[in-house]
Amino acid sequence: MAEYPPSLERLLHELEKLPGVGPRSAQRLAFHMLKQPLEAAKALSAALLDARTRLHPCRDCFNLTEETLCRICAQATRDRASLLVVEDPSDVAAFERTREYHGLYHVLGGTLSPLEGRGPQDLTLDALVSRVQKDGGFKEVIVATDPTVEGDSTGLYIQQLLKGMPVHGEPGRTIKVSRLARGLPSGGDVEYADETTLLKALEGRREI
Amino acid sequence: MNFQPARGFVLAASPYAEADKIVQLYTLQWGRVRALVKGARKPKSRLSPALDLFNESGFSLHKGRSGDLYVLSQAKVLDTHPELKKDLPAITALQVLADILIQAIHDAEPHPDIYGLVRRTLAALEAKAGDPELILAAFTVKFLDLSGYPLELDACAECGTSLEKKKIHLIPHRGGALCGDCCASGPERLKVSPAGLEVLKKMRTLPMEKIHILKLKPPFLREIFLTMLEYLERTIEKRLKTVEYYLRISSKF
Repeated sequence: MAEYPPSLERLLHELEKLPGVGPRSAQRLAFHMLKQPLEAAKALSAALLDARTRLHPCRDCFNLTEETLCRICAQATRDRASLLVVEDPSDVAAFERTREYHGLYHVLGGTLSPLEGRGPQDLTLDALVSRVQKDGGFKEVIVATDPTVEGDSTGLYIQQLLKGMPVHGEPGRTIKVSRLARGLPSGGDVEYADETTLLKALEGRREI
Repeated sequence: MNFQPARGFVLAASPYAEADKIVQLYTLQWGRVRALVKGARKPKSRLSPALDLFNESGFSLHKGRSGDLYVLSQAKVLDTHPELKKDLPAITALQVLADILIQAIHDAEPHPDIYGLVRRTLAALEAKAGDPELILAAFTVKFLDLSGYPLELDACAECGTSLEKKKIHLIPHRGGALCGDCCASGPERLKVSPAGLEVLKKMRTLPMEKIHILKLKPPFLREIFLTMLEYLERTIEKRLKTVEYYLRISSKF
């Protein structure tokens, strides 16, 4: 027999479908919402519905947008020679917060992860290749996937797909495919760094 | 809190909650276990370097509040196998190996022999001691032996007659190789040539570090490799998720 009234059971059931939300967290969230004024619940449900119905992938980069093109792809001032490949739209926001990258993005929608049943057909890799081929203006593609085996294999896969593609208008020059540097985090302590991180930091050292 | 030391490999890691991960480990002391790693997705996490595929570490684990989930609180990386993660085919072979261990081992029981076999298999892959398909096929034969599903390869598993100059099929759940008289038909049959049977026998007896002395032509090796993976799948009654991906990657690159 159900512990709670049907409407509350339904709310708990829906909340438990969210990533990282188990029965206890669902219960905590549900009771918090029920303590709020009715307007707060209405605002939350309206915002959720609004976002879900208005947002869709950008035609070019697959970032989330309410228009055909996202804010970044539509900006004429962006550097159109550089393309940063990320896993999710939230990664675009992370790079935008640096205010140092001025190129374009491409959102893959995840990484290659055969153990989770995610192969090349589940990512926007075909669209990436056709975008690079058609656009022709890119000189560098920067792979910014997570520094994990899945992130690395996705990077290697992209490298193979784009290998030898020419830069339009520059005979003999091919598109550079690079990977984000790996090493010590800002504010980190060398003494406590593990061997892998130190090795990567040494490999990626640069002149000062 | 009762912390227990364990030595093990990471088989898989997936994001959990805001900044955590849940990892699947294959440990020497407790077999296959799942563990929660708090804060593992934060850049400054001191545990994240230990959580990459097949990194071998000394872990400190304790039983969590919910069921069979452990909490991983410390890790000392012992070996990251960097050479195995430099190219796509090598990474994909690792993912097939992880898939076999995840699908075929369910219990939190120690299997020191299987743990040792995994270590020797990684060493062979890292030393490039043979084609990854040869190493993975040999691993599967040895793994079935150690898991309690040894293949009968010397005589028909049912009538005991010699398999020489006979049509041979491998049949999971009937002990291994059967002569044509004992398995005239049936969808569960996996055809194997006499030469293939000899290769499987050698894969069983040769130590992993010497498996490279088997020199097989690529189409024949592919046939043996796929036959063994299918035999394993039918034995454990589970599909390996990585095989199709492996074939796609190996045909493309």
